[in-house]
Amino acid sequence: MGRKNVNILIVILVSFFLLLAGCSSKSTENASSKDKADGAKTPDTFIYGIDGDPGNAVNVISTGDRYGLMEIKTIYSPLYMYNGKDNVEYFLAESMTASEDFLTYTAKLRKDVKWHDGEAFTADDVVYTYEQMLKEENGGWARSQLIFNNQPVKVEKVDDYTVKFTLPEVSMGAFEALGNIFIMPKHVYEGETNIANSPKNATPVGTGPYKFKEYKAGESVTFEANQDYFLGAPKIANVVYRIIMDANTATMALQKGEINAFAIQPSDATKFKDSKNVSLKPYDEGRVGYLAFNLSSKAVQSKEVRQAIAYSLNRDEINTASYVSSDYYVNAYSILPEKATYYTDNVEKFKTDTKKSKELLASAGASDLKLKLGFTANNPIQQKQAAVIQQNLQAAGITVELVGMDGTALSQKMQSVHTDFDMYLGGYIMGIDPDTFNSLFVTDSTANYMHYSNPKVDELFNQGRVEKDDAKREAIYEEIQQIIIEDAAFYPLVTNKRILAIDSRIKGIEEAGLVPVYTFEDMSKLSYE
Amino acid sequence: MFKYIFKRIMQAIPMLVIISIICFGLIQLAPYDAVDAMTTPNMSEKTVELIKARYGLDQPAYMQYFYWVKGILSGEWGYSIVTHESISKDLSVRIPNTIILVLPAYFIALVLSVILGLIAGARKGKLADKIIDGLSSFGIAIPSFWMAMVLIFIFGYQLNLFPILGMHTIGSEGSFSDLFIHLVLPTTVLTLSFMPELVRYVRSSTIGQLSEDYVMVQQAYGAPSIGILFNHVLRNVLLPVITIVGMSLPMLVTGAVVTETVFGWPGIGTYFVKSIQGFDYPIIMAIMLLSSSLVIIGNLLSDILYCIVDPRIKGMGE
Repeated sequence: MGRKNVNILIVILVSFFLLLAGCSSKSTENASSKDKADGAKTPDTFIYGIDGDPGNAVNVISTGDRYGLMEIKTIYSPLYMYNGKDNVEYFLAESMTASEDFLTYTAKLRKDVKWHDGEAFTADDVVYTYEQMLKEENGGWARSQLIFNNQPVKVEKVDDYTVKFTLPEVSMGAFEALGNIFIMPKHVYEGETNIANSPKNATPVGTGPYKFKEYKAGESVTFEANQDYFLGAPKIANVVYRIIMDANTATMALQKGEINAFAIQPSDATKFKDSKNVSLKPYDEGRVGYLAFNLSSKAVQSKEVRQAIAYSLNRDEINTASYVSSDYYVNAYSILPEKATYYTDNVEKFKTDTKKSKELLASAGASDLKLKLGFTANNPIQQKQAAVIQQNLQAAGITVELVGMDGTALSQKMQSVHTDFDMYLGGYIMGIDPDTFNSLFVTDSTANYMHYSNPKVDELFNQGRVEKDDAKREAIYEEIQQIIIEDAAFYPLVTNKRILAIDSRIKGIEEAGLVPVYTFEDMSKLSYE
Repeated sequence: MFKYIFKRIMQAIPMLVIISIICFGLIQLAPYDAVDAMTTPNMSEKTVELIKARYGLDQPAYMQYFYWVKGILSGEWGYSIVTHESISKDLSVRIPNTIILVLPAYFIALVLSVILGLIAGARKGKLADKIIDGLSSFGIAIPSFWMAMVLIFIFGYQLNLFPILGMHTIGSEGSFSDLFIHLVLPTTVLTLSFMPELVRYVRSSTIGQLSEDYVMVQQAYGAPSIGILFNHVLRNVLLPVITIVGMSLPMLVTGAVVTETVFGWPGIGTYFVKSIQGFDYPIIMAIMLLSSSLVIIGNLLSDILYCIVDPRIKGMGE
């Protein structure tokens, strides 16, 4: 009987393995035959790998993360996008004109636009969107930029295709502030009290190039072409944002062709250098990466000490260590990125000079200085920056202790008054107009994490906002840049590029336009060759 | 027997209550306010107060605990701070995905381990044992993410046999064969990472059983050694394995965190990792509560099973 049982067991096992073997060989055939099929015809799907999950509550009011905003750009359209003084891309608006006194702006809307559900787009939708954005309880991302000196902008419908914006006071940054806001459908959301948590967000209805098709938690967001898109039907039928948390897997999937695009780290760029299937498109996001001082900490309150530190740093060394090749970064000298209006590099550059640094330290009476540098521990770029900074300062006789922290913990620390570290690494992407940078440097502003305070800078920012003369405005902002750099509380390191690795068969990237945050200005222009 | 089972269940309940109190305590200690999940920084004090009152967050801590437990029991697990989405809804999508991955892997690992462990135990010190035991030690030492990367590189990229990303090819979501080929690589990784410990467990248990008197009796009767192994030793070896199986119940939730992340599998693992990176406390706490409760329930189940399977234990409760 024992023998019989063993036999049965063996039979079961053998058949189990045969089954497994059978399945796997069958699937191999499946996989390879599918590959062939893919190669033969032009693909109709563009798969973009992202390393985060946009979630299923994406809406134009409260969504603020990169991937949520990418999804919004695909589904919705703004009135216009402000990409620079002479570079305004019009979408739902045909024009936006300021009055002589810069107090009212009038937007003329397109008449041929339909929502994805077939309803006509009108001025009511625009007014509704701005009203919702201004409602405090909605927590709209653009609310603060629509409030001018504690007074909200007034938005009125003139007729079905004209909207008038009335400012409470002159603000030269208003043209940018009023743009870049995506318009939501009034007929869908009307009566909704909590937009951020509304169930309607799960089935968004927009006017953009692609219609929302499906969201799969942790897996993907799928869109299909909007054939009625007002700027012409998209050329690729489907777009998918595929969620891949592991960068190594994503890089391999891109090499293999399972995904068609992914933003890679500079250190991975060499893998694609000679690739025929994938091309690299580094583009400027207007980000400024910096080393800033925590002015609540006594050790760095002296301007001489800060300047000594600036003289001992070596930008080239720090940036090559972190961004590998100058293809992927530009040295930054000003608080503004190069593409901002009134950018100047006519500021103190603090050319590396260890001797001068030591002299300054001696005259400040600071010997044997020990400083703490806060940074995001799991950010590979900041790890390298921090290590080189530590070496640079060592040469000038300053001991640096590296305080690696979790990203969220670091930003929470920064928002409070503390002395846990004397300086920290960070980066920002703000707007084009220099006025959008005031919250970083004006005394007691929301994003002034350095606790920097210079009455002259505060005054200049206030002047710059209302100055109508272009030349005078330019002079004001140049002075601001020079003063802040001279104070040495803020040491700009780098304007780095985002490196988009994309399937070489994709054409029309130029026409689609690479822009900060959203990646593509208009995805409908992409096509497979 | 029923008395024993009843007694074990009664013991498990206070444990679950203690676990929930610890979890709740940690939530209170965490540097965030539960109301953050429902508000935005721009809301006025008054609005925040109203929301607090609506969810009972203005009450003292012990009252909040009861609200919280009531919510958990009625399937209301709160909201993510980052995405503002309902956690129970997210979990209900992701847990099945993880189970599809972990359950077959664990089952295959179990079957293979029992066979390999028995062989190794029976041939203690011989070549077969050395190979199996050696490979197991090797397997314990290999981190699963590394093994996953190696398999992806060889089978997914160079040989191009299997897809490496996620659960489905875009466009063929309903197809079972598509799901199957996506399952092959991650399941292999998980099977290989579950196996070594189980093999060694079965092996040592087999060695212990082989020195028992009943084996000697069987040998004296002239039973073939393979018959003794599969008819008599196997049953006794499987008894402690029940305990291990019961204790691995939480694996259904957290058993594949690393593997899922590497393969972009939309299960609990990727969700958990993302929430840790984003300091999304409510999600971390929910998963912690879930997996720690499963440890207790798993123990309870294995005790009950044990008592049903092994008649010697029945009397112990009385």
